[in-house]
Amino acid sequence: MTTLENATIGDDTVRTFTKDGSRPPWMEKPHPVTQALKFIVLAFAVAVVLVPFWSVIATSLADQRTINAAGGGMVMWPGGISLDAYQAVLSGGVVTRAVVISVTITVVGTLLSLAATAGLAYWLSRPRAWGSKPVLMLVLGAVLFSPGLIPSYLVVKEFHLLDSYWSLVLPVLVNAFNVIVMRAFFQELPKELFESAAIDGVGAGTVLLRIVLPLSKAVLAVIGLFYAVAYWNAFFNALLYIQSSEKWPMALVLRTYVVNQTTIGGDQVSSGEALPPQLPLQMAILVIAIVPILLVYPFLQRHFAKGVMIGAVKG
Amino acid sequence: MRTQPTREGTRSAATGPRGRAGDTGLEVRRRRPRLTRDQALLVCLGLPGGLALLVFHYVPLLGNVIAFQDYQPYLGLTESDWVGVQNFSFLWDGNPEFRNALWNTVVLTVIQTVLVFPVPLALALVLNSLAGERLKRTLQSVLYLPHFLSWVIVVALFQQMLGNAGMLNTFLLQHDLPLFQVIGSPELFKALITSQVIWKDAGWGTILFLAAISRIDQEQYEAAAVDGAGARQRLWYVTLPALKGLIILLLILRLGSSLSVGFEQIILQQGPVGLQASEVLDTWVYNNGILGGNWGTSAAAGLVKGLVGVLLVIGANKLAHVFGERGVYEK
Amino acid sequence: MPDHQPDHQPHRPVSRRSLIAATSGLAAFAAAGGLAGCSSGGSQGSGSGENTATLPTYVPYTGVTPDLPGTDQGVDPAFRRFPAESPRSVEDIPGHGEKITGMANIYFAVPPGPDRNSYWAGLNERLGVDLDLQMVSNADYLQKFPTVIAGNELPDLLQVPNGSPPPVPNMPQLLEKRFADLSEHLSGDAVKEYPNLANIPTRHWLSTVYNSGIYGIPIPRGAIGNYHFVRADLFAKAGVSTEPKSYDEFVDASKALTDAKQRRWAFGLVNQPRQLLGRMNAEPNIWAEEGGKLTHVYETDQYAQTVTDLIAMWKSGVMHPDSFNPAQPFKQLFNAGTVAINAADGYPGWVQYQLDNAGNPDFELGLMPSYTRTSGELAQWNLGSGFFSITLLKKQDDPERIKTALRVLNWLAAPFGTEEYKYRLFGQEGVDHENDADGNPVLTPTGTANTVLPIRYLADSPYNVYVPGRPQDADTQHAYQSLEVPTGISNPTTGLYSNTASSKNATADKTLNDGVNDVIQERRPFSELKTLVTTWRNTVGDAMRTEYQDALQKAGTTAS
Repeated sequence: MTTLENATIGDDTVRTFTKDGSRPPWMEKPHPVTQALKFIVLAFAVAVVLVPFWSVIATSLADQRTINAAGGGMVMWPGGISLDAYQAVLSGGVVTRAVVISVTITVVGTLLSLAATAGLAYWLSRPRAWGSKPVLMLVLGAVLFSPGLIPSYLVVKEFHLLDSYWSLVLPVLVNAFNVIVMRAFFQELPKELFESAAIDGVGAGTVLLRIVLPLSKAVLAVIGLFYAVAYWNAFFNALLYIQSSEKWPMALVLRTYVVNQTTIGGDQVSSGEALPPQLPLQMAILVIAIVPILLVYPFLQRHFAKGVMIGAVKG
Repeated sequence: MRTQPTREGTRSAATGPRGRAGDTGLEVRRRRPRLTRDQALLVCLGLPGGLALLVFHYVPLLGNVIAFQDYQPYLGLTESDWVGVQNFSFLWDGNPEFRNALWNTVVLTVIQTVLVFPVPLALALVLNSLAGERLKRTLQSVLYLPHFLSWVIVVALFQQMLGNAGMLNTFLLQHDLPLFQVIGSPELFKALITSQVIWKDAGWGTILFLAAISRIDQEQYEAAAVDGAGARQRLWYVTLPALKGLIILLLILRLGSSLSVGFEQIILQQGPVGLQASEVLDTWVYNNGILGGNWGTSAAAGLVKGLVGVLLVIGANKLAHVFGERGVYEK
Repeated sequence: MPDHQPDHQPHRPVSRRSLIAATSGLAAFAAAGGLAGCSSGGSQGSGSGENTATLPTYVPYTGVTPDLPGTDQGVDPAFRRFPAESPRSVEDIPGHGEKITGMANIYFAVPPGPDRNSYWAGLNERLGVDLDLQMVSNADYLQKFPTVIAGNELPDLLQVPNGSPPPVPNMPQLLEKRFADLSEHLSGDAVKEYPNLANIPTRHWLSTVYNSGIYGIPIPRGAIGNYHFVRADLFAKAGVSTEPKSYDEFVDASKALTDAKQRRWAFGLVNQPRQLLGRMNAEPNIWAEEGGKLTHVYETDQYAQTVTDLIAMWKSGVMHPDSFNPAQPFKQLFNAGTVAINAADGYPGWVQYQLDNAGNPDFELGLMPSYTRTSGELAQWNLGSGFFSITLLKKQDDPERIKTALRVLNWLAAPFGTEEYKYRLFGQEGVDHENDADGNPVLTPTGTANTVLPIRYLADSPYNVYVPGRPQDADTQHAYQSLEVPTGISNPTTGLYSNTASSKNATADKTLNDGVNDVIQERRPFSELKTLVTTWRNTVGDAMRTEYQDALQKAGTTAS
């Protein structure tokens, strides 16, 4: 049983090895040329990402005059800093409420999705499990064929899920791609673990809880992140299924700012009404939509640390 | 998960379930009741996910019968007229727009598979080889950022930076340097699309590889190092073999969707370059199906795409088996 | 998507008679008093009469007097200030506590729901109903609409996606199957039951007629349609007039306004010079009608001339280098002074431009009249379709529910200056708006967030020119409209339905314009223009022509 015990503490064992990145003793000092090359590649990648992002943030803080001075486009420096855009977005409480809804849907949805996906992937990953072959084909088929708009709507309607939060979770509960990826990860677990478990007479449930899941923290974190991001950003199902705007998730609320404002034409406006300046508003929306993910991300990232498997198959 | 409506209508499943007994092998065969209980438990664990797929994916897929109908939303499935295979006529009527779209799609798929697919892998390897854990995490977080921008914004950003009146060209113009016209040039359209995809998703694509790398037993590296393997050799003999299964899996899945390339991204940028250079299958379906309310055609195109995907996946999987790899599913 | 908005009609003397003839079915619909003096009484019109309906009698509201009156031709009434007195136009509360559902598109950030939105709660109280609105962002409306139709759980009030004709295939059949024919409630004098709906001039109702019945309420828009906005300050700085009176002057002005190094161009989108040149070259208003036969603008020599001119214009560099990108943020470019001419924008945009630039002392908004190529005379103006969208009413078992819905719409259509209008647009004083020194209502931040309910796309009053706090703007706009509207010609197919136009034209039009853009940028030879037009004609043009000509005949019009 040493196997199992070691496995569960795998994550902590790692830390002793790569504690804050210090090089393990067997690794040689990197060659200065390689090092320089790596540095250049990464610095370039980071710059290419950060420059536009800096511009997004600067523009979200800029006032109309700065934007006009930049020819109506984005700016690299906000000039007079103005929080008007953020105020406009957060006033009325609509966004705040939508954030609460989105967080709830994301948390509940991600947990349910992870459970359903892991369950399905586990079933399909075990050799000779009943029915796993045809079901695997079913899952693969779901990657290749996607249903149309109207039939999906009709199914949700038949289940009386229209205007219910469940319509945002159940139709996307399982993503077939994620099932296949997770199954592949489960299959790569060392066979020896399963064999010794079988010899010890441990049941499938215990194997899942004590071997498979603890050793799959990295993939669970990744797939969880995939689901969370998908739930957080999803607007299209809400657009189709949610009728009362009181139940709109954040992504749909934000969409009314970002997408609509770019297309609004003069004849859609009545006399005497006005929109706030568009560009800073859109950029503020972007910032607001990204921040929560940035906040959550580091908590998941620790599971990506290298060597989670260390010691798992010792003994 | 859809970020943008899948504009192709319904499609049908062509892969029937193919059940064959798995190999009888390693697992111990004693104590049947235990095994039966395990089997039942496995099914129970998988059932919720399976049911969700069945109900919310496969039941709507039945709606693909509208590929054989002149479907009208106000008439519904039961009252719309049946029109046979008329909606599939684009396949054989020599429609030049369809052929052009198909050609552009295939070219883009090839370019993206060759150029885009390896980038996240390379980036993951470079990231992984960094020493400082904190630096590594920070870099990862930065590189993920673009994934969270919608295409509307990405396209706008590229326009602002590289557009003909963007920051770069304004600078060049003001210093009497030749302009760099990448946006709006039909010749460079595919290059533009490809670089946008890399910009947006290369960082994000590293996640799966990093997760797989994290599973590699450190002792393997140590053992290799002790045997005198240098960094490059450890990469070649330890890291890459450990990632091979995942790479093949992802490639096969990518092949399955090779007739879909960036709908939203492309439709936003068709204006300046024209349809000749920019029309792909998904935009063609949108322009010729959804826009005019021609649901039958879009369902038909979806079916065709799915079937092609099935064939490609089966073929690629066979190929993987020939090379002794697991692929997406086992023999 | 609607036809692109090209421009002018061949050289025909613009008399009232030809205006009427061109205004598609108008003569036949024999609108009672629609264009006062032109038709008399509610006869059924002539011709085969297969698709005619007696349009609602026009009874203009007289409770508020504009500073500058409108005209029968469609010049909007103008107000310098908000009327001090706000009379009530609706005596009784429309509903008795029923729930009324509706769906419409929204262009703004979604407002809070009725429990946290005092404006909405107050609206429900005034309407006497529980108004339950589905709001769908405009960008997604075209996708949502068919799913709602397919799901067959229709709201009581449903906005049709905007466009003329609406981009909805098989509209007549759809209407017949699912929506209420309102003729008995609205035809002729019956509309007087709903005085604010009777205040919508007859020409706006043309687009609601299908299957010989009135199937909806129009959201009226002014006859002028678009303005040619210009940055008068930039014109002054460049030393050129905002009224170029010939092609040469126009070209010179565009060049004077352009300085690429300073990021300044005359135009930001190819459609803008295209509209101006089209007018100059006397293109028809999309379709030209001659003895019952229709010719599309693409098929005319005038259009070929416009394309020739555009080639020269693109070459001369007066257009923003990204002018062929439809996602170009042309409003921002105009506000920033990057482009000086914004020639193809909806006319109510005036208010928005003034508000956007309130902090810019240099900004001066102007309007450019359009002249013919050489004669020095005003060119013909392409009038708009007269409506934004129409609102359908679901079939109901209980006719009382239709009546309640119509009373609600009647309230929502209350004319400019009335108490109901003021509440609809500006909400409660002290909460949603404050009055400035001149009595103009100014929305508070709360009001800005709360009042953007899309009820304005369920029913609206005819447009009035009014710019809060800028009385002089009323005069500028009124003068411009008075100058241009009399030269106006209508699209003869306005108010007619062609299934090809609603289903296939968007794609074919895109393909054609895409090719034309290549021609303008000289990526394809000019000779290919003919091929492109022929292809367009074969895919949709001829079918549309046949359908429209048929519809014209059924409407019994054809200017004989």
